[in-house]
This record gives sequence, C-alpha cells and structure tokens, in this order.
Amino acid sequence: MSFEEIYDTYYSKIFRLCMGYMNDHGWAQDVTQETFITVWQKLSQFRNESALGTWIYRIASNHCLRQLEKQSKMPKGEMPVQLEDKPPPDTGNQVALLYRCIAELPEIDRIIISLELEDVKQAEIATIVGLSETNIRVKVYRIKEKLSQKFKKYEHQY
Amino acid sequence: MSTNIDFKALWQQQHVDVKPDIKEVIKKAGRLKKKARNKLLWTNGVLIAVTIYYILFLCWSNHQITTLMGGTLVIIGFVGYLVISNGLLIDLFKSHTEVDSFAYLKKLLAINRKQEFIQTKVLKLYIITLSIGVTLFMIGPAIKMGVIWGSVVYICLFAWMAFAYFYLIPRKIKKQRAEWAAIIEKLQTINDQLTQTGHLE
Repeated sequence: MSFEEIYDTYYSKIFRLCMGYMNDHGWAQDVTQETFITVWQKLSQFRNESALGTWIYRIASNHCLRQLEKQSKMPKGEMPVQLEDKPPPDTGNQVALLYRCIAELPEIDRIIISLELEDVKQAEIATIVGLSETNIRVKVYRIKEKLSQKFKKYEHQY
Repeated sequence: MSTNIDFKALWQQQHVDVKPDIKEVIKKAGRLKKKARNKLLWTNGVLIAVTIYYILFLCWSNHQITTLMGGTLVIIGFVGYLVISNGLLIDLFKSHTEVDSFAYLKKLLAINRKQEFIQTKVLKLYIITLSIGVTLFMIGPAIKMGVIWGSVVYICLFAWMAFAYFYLIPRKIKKQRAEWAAIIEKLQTINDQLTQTGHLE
C-alpha cells in the first residue's frame, strides 16, 4: 500500500480516534496530521510484524497520549499546517453527546472504546494498548456500560 | 430517552473535514524539523567553539597551575553537559510511537524523569564546576591586572555567580520542576490505568 493510499484509507478513522480522545476538532486535526507525518517517516521501516492498521492505530494512540505532555510546552497552532479555527459543523446532538461522553472517560478507556467503535478487533486493540485480550473484553464491556449511563444522563438533561 | 443506543452508528456520523494536502504537510514538517536541528546545532556549536578556544589557550603557552586547573574544569563542565544533554536529546528525537501504549507510557515516564534530573541536578553541578573553573582560571590574569582591577574583576565575577546561583538557576529550576511534576503525575495516572487492569483477568 502506498502512503497516499494509506492516507486516503485511514484519515477519517484516525481523525475519529483523535476526536474521541480530545473532543476538539482543531486539535484532533493537528494530532491526525502528526500521526501521518510519523507514518510517512517510518513507513519504510514497517516490517509487517503486525497488521498495517494495528501499526497506524498504535502510532495514533501514542500521539494522543503524548498530547498531555505537549499541552504545557507547545501552544496549539504550531503544527505544520495551521487549519482554520472554525467551529465544526453541527453533526447532531447525539453525535456530539457521544464524543463528549467519551472525552470524559479516563485516557486509556477513551482509546479502547474509540478503537472498539471503529470496529477494530479486540485482539488488535490488545496489541495496540498493551493489555491482554481478556482485559480488553472486560474493559470494553464496562466502558460501554459507563458510556450508556453517561449518555442517558446527559440526554435526559438536555 | 434512548434505551438501546447504537454507539457505532453514532460514532461513524462524526463529521470529518476535507483532508489537508499531505504533500504540503510533509514539506512544512520537514522545515520545522530542520529549524529544530539548526537550533540544536547552534547551541552545541557555541559550546564546542568555547571548548576549542580554552584548549588552544591552554596549549598555546605556559600558564600558572591555577589557570590550567580552571581551564580544565571549564572544559570538563562543557563536555559533560554536552554529552549528557545531547544523550537525552537523541532519546527525545527518537520516535517511540510504534510500540504499544503501555510500553510507550513507560518510555515517556523514563524520559521525563531523566529530563527533570538533567534540568535540575546536572545543571547545578554544571554551574558549580563552571564557577570554580572560571575562579581558578582568572587568578593568573587578575594578578597581572594589579590589586585594584584584579579585585574589581573578582567582585564582579562573584556577584554574577551569586546572582546566577542563588536567583536565576533556582527560579528556572522551580518553574521547570512544577512543569515536570505535573507531567510525571499525569503520565503516572495513565500508566496506573493500565497496570491496575491486571485484576480484571
């Protein structure tokens, strides 16, 4: 797969993963770009030890985790292509609510549920996060429960 | 109120903006990397140039033992700081993003702890070595200057050292320590989310 094909195939998936983690359009776009820059830099070293998707999701998840460290050091807006800071289009209350609920979860839970909702197999999620498949299965079940409760609570409020 | 929420369907409905031109992104990323590398080369270049100057100065003619000792200490300080801080920078520039999140967090924690150590303890040691080195180095030239000018030079030198050691450095260290502590604490919290998962099995 060429880099352009990877970019076309995975851009939306990675953007959603970043949105699930940050719930901020501009920030998620910045981190998506960072992810693809790393993919572009490292693609020649990719040795098929894992599936290409797993490898890309790993890079994206780690870039998300890295944000907490960069937050205090690099002001938002120093990314290569500074995208216009316009508000995201109204995608419907329920979609916004879901992303808001996910962004309120602990960091690792955000990554796990985002990958699960992106239809990544649990065995793959386990290798991306570094936990066993059993752990992931239990975690996904608990996160979904927590998410449903949060979602219903907010839905009731608004 | 919803009863069975289809999270997957909702998840996929998230609006994704038009993709930026990846070639432009890569071009600008390259420029940023070059800028960071130039800054690093410039800092190292200045330190290396001063080190070479000291070496040449010490080798050029016969000096008092204090000048030799001072010059050697300054060189040791420069070289030590260069080696340690560059070792860390190499680690920082290496991308570790391909490992799993668990391993990545561990690596981040280790780098941050190392960074904290360098920015606080190593920096203090560097300043002490440099101060002793310069004090010894200046004894010879100060004697040649005579009592009055020699005293003026030493008063200025000690005043500057005291200002740097008791005001500038502690201020910098305090600020950085607060930053590192916040980062390390946050990293540790996320790491705990993974390590405390063992009981789920």
